[in-house]
Amino acid sequence: MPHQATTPILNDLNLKIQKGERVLLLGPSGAGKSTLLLAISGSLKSMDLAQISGTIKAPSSGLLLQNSMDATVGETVFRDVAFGAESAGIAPYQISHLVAEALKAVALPIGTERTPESLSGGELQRLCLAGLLTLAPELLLLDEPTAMLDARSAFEVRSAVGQYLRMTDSTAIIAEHNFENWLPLVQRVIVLSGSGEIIDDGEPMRVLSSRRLDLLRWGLWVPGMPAPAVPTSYSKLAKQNRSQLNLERDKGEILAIVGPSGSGKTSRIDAMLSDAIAELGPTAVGWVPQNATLTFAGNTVLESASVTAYKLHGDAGTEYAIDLLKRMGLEEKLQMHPQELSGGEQRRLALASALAHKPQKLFLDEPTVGQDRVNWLRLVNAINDARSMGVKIVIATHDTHLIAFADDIEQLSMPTDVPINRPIPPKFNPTPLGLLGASALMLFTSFFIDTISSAIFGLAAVGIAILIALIRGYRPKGLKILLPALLGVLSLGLSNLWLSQDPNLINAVTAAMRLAYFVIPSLLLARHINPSVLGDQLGQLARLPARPVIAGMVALGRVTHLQQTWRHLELVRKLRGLDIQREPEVPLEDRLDILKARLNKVFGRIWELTFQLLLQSIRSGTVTAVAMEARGFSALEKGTGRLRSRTWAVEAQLTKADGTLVAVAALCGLAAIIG
Amino acid sequence: MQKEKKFQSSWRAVWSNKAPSSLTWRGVDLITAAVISAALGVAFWGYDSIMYPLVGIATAGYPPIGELQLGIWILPAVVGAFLVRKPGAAFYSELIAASVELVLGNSWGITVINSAILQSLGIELILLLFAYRRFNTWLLMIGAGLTAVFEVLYEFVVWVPEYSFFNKMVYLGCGVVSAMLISGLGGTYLVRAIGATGALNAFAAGREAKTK
Repeated sequence: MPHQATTPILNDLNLKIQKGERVLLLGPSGAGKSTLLLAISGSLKSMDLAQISGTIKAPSSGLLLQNSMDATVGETVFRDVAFGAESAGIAPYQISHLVAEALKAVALPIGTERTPESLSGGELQRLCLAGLLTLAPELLLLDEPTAMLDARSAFEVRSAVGQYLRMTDSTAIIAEHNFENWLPLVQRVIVLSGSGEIIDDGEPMRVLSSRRLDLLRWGLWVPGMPAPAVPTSYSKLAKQNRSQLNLERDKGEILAIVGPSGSGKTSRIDAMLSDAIAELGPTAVGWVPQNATLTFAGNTVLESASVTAYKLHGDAGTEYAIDLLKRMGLEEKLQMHPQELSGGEQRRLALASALAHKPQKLFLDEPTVGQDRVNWLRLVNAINDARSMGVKIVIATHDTHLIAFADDIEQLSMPTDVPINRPIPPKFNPTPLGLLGASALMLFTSFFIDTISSAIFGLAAVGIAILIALIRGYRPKGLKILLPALLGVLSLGLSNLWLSQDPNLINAVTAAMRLAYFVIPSLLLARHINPSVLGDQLGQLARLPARPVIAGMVALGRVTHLQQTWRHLELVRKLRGLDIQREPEVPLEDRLDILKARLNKVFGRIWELTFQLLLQSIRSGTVTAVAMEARGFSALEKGTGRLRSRTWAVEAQLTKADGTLVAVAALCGLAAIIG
Repeated sequence: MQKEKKFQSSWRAVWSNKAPSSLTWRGVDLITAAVISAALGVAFWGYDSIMYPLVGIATAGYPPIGELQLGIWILPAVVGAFLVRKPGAAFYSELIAASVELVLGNSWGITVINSAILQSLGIELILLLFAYRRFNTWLLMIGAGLTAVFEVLYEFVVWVPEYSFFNKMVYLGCGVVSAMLISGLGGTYLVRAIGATGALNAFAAGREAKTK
C-alpha cells in the first residue's frame, strides 16, 4: 500500500511460482505489475517505498528495468557489469572473468572501457542484463524490458534473455504491454485486474483467448489485432498530393525520422529544433523530448498545459488547452501534479502542452513509446489534427504504425565508425589523489605567503611550472572555468584595499596574489579528476567506507548529464515562453517597481530551474537506487546481519606522475618560503 | 474541537517531525543525498549565467553585501539533512556539492572542500544536540545560522583579513541572515515542495509533505 493511501495497489495476492517456470504478467496500466516485481525483488522493502503487509519468499533475483540509462551504475561497461559481483564480495581476479562471460551471454562484444552513454538503447538494456547475470540469479524479473526499444533491439534483448533461460533452470517473470513476442518463451500467463487482484492464471493460449476482451479493453497490444484505425482521409489525400504539399508552405505535414537506435535520431531532431527556433522564434516551436517530464511547468496538469497558451492567447488559449487535455483522456486529472501521472499520461500531457499555444512547427522524439492501444490512438489523432491545422511536424520514431502516417521519411543509418570514447591514456597520467594532494599542498604552503616578496616568488614558481608543462605538451581546455577565479582574485584585492582600517596597497596585492597562487593550480588540476578512479582510491587506499564513496562517485558521474538537463530546462523555458511576463495593466513607472519586477523574474527563474533540476535528479536517482539495490548494494551478510563487505574490481594505484605533481607543488611552496 | 485537533496534528507534522527510528543510512539515503547534492552543484554552475550581472552590481557598491549569497552554498547541507535525517547527512551532501563545484570551476579552487566542512558543521552540531531525532524548519535555520558563523570566521582569516572591524561585522551579519533565510527556510521549503509531488515517498520528509 502506498504511504498515506487508502486503497492498496496490490490486494489479497497469493501467488506461487514453481522453480524454472517462465511467467508473463499482464494487466491494465496501474494494475501494480511493477509494484509486484519490486516487491518480489525486495526493493520495495529496502527502499521503504510503501507500506507492506504479507510475506514474500523469493530466491536471489535480478530485476531489469525499463529505463536503462538511469539504471547504469558504472562509468564504463566493465565497472557497470562488475557492480553486482563487487557487492557480492567476489575476488577481483574472478570478476574480470565473470564480466567477460556475462557480456558473452548477452551477445555484447564491445570494448569494456566504453561508457554506457555511448551505447544504443538495446545495447544498454543488454548491458544491464549482463550486470544481473554475473550473479547467476535464480529468478529474473523483467519490468517492460523492451518498451523503449525498436524492433531489432527488442529482438536482441529477448534473445539474450531466452539464451540465459535455456542455459539455466532459472525462473522468470516478465511484465510487458506489447507482449506478443514473449509468448514463445513463457508457459504461464497471470492477469492482474485494475484493482491489483489476480483474475486469471494459467496456460497462455487459454488465458489469452478467454481474456481477450479484457486485454483489448485495457488497451494492450493483443496479438493478431491490427493497429487502431485513425481517421485517415486526410493522411491518404496528403500522400497523393505530396509533391504539391511540399510547395505549399501553409499546409501541415509530417516528416518521420527513422533509423536503428544509435543512428542519431535525437541529435537530428535537436539540430532541426535549433534551426526552427532561429527562423521562427522560440514560442512558434513546440517540442516533446524523450524525457517528457522536462517540459512540465507549474503545479497542476492544467497549469502545465495552458501556461504558454494563456500567455500568448489569454483565456481562449486556456480553453483550447483544456480541450486538448480532454482529447488526451486527462480531463479527470486537471488538478493533479504532473509528476503524479503515469509515464504514458506524462507523454500525452507534454504533447498537449506543446500543441496548446498553436506552434507552427512541432518536434516529437519517440512520442508513442510505451503507450497502450487506446492512448496510442489519442496521441496519433492529436498529431493528425495538428497536421490538418497546418502544423509542420517532425517525429523521430521507430513505431512502424506511426511511420505509416508520415508524408515524408528521412532514413538515418548507423554511423560506420563507432567513436572510441576513451583517448589512450597520456604519458603523464596523474590520479585523483595525486591531483588533490598537490592542490592541498599548494593551499597549505599559501599560508607562508605573508610578504609581497614571498607572493612574487611563489607565484613565479607556479608560472614556471605551468610554462614547463605547456612546453612538454600540456594543453588545458576550457579555460573559461578560470574566469570566476580571476574575477575573485581581482575583487579580493580591491575590497581588501578599500574596506580596511588603514588601506595598504602592498597588503591587498599580497592577499590577491596568495589567492591566485593556489586557486589557479587547483582549478587546472581538478579538471582531470576521474570520479570512478577517485572512488577506487578513497575506498582502497584511504579506506573510507565503501557505500558512501560509491554513491558519491555515481552522483559525480552524473554531472555531465545534469548539466545537459539544466540546458534542456532552460530551453523549455524559452520555448514555452515561461519568462514572458504579461503586460501589466498600468505601465510601470516607479523605478522601484521596475526593479521589483526584474528581481521577481530572476529569482522566479532560479527557483523554477532549481526545483525542476532537483526533481529530475531525484527521479533518476530513485531508479538508480533500485538498480543498485537489485545488485546487492545494501545486501546483508548471512548470519551476522551486518552489511556485506564489498570488493573492488579495479585496483587503485598511485602513479609516478602523482609524485611529480606533489614535488612540483612542494617546490612552489619552497619558493614562497624562501621569498 | 475536531477542527482544533486537526490543526494541532498538522502543526505537529510540520514543526516537530520525528526522525525515523534508525540512524543508519539506507542505500536509498546515500544515493538520493548524493544525486540531489550533485544536482545542486550543477545548479550553482547554472546560476552563473543568470545571477552574475545582478550580484556584480550589488558587490561592486559594497562588497560585504556579496555575503548575502552565502546561504546558496549552504543549501545542500540543509536539503541533505532535512531530507535524509541521518548523522552526517549535511556533511556528506555539502562535500558532494563542493566536489562538483571544484570540477566545474569556481572562484575559490580547492578551498571549497574546507568550506564544505565548515558549512555543514553548525547544522550537524545543532542536530546532534537533539540526537538526530528532531528535524524542523526552526532547527535547521538555527543550524544554518551557526554554520554561517563558522564559515565567516574562516573567511575573515583567509579571504578578507584586511577588512575593518565594522565591515567584518556587516559581512558576518549578511552571511548569517542569508544562511538562515536562503538555506534554512528556503532549503526546507524546497524539500517540502519536491515532497508534495510524490517524488520523495521513500523518505519521512516526503511523506510529511504529502500528508500536508
